[in-house]
Amino acid sequence: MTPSAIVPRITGLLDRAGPARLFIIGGMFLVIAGMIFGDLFAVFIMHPNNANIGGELAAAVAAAAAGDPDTVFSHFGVIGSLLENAGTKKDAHVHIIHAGYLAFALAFLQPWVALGRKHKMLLAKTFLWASVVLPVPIFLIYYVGLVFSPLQSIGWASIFADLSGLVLIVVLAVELVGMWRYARGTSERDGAVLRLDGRNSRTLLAGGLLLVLAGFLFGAFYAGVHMEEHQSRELIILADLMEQAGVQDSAAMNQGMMAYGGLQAERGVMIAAHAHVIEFGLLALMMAIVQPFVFLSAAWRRRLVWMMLVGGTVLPIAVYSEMWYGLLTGAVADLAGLMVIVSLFGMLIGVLRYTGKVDVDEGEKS
Amino acid sequence: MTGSQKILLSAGLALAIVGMAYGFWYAVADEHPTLERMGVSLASAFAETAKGETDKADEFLKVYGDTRFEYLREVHFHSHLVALSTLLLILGIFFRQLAFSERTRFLLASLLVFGTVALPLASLLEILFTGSFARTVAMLGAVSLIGGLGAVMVGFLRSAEGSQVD
Repeated sequence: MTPSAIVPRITGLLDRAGPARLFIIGGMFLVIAGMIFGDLFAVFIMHPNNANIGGELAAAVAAAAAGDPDTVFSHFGVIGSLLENAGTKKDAHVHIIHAGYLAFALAFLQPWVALGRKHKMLLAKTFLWASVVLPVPIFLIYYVGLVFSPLQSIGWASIFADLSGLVLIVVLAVELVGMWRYARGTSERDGAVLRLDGRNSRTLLAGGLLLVLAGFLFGAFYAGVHMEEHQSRELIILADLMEQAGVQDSAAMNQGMMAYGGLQAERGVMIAAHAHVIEFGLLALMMAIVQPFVFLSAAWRRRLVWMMLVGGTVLPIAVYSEMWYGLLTGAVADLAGLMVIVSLFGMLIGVLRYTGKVDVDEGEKS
Repeated sequence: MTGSQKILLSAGLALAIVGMAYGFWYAVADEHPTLERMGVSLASAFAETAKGETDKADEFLKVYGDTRFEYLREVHFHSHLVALSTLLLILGIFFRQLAFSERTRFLLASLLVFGTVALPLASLLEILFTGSFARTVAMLGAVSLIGGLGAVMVGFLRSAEGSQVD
C-alpha cells in the first residue's frame, strides 16, 4: 500500500463530526487541562504542603519528647489533613490526564466498535462528561469533607467521584461489547487500516517508545534497588525519632527529621521521574497517531513534535536531578512541562483547524 | 484487525476495565479505612512514646509499616494496570505496522498482555504471600514488558523504511 493511498483512509476517521472526532478533541482538552492543573498543583500546593508537613511532624516529635500525647494527636491530625489536601489534588491531576489518554485510545478504536452511530456518539459524550466531572469532586474532597454525608467515612464529593468513575467503567464495558460484536462479524467491517508513515508520526512513535522503555527500565531499577529500602529506612528513621523523643535528645531528633525529609524528597522525585517519563511516552505515541490531522505548516508541525519530545525527555531528568540541584532543576522541569503543554496546545489548534476545513469543504460540496 | 491487534485491543480494554473497577471498589470500600488506620497508628506510636510506653509505641509503628506496605501495593495495582492497559490499546492501534510476521506479532502481543497482567498482580500478591513468589511474578512481568517493548521498537524501526509522506 502506498502512502498516498493510506492517508485518506486514516483521515477519513475525522471527516465527520462523529465519536472519533469528539474523543480526540475532548481527550486533548482533558490532557492539557490535567497538565496545567498539575503545574499549578506542584507550585501552589505540593511544595508549601511538604514544608508544612515537615513542620507539623517536628512539632509532634517535640510534643512526644515533652510527654504530651494530646498535642501529638493534634499535630498528626493536621498532618492527615495536609496529606489529604495534597493527595486529592494529585489524584485529580492524574485522573484528568488518564481519562484524556483513554478518550484518545477510544477514538482510534471506533472503526472496530460495532455499534450504531447514535450509540457511539452517546458513549463518547457520556465518557467525556464523566471525565470532566470526575476530577471536580476529587478536588473538592478536602473542602467538603463529611458535611451532610449519609456515610461514616465517605463524603459527598467522594460519592460523586466514585459515581463518575463507575460511569467511565460502564462506557468502557459497552465499547468492549462493541469490539466483541465487530470481532464476531455481526456488523459491516470497514477494514480500517492505520499506518503511520509520516516523518512526524514516526519521530513521535520512536521517541514515545524510547521514553516508555526508559520509564520501564527506571521503574525496574527503582523497584529492585530502592523501593523496599525506602520503606524499611522510613520505619528505622521513625523508630529512631521515637527513641530520641523518649530520651529528649533534641540534636538527634533534628538530624532524624532531616533524614526523614530527605527520604521523602528522594522517594518523591524517583516516583515522579518514573511516572512522568512513561506519561510523556504515552502522550508522544498518541500524538504520533494524531499527526495526519494536524493542519499546520510543515515547519510548525516539526517544531511542535520536537518541543514535545524535548520537553518530555528533559522534565523527568530535571525532576530526578532535584535531589542534587534543588530549585534550579525544578525550574528547568517547569519549563520542560510548559514546552509539552504548548506543543499539545499547538497540535490541538491544528486538529481544530483540520476539522474546520473538512466541515467547510463538505458544506461547499453540498 | 489482525489477530495480534485483536489481542492487544480487547485485552487492553478489558484490563483497563478491571483496573478501573478495582480502583472503584478500593475507593468505596477500602481506601478510607486504610488511610485512617495508617494515620492513627503513626500518631498513636508517638503518643505512646510521649507516655513512655515504648513497647506499645513499637507495636503501633509496626501496624503503620504493615498498613503502608499494603496501601502502596493496592494503589500500585490500580495505577499500573490502568496505565499499562492504555499502552496496550495504543500499541494495538498501529501494531500491524511492525515489520514482523503476524505469528511473531501475535506472540509479542501475548507477551505484552502477560506482562500487563503479571506486573500489577505481583503487587497484590506481595500482600498475600511472603517470600519470593510475588517477586518472581513481578520480575517475569517486568522482563516481558521491557523485552516486549524493546521488540516493538525493533519491529517499528525495521518497518516501511523510506515510506515517509511528510
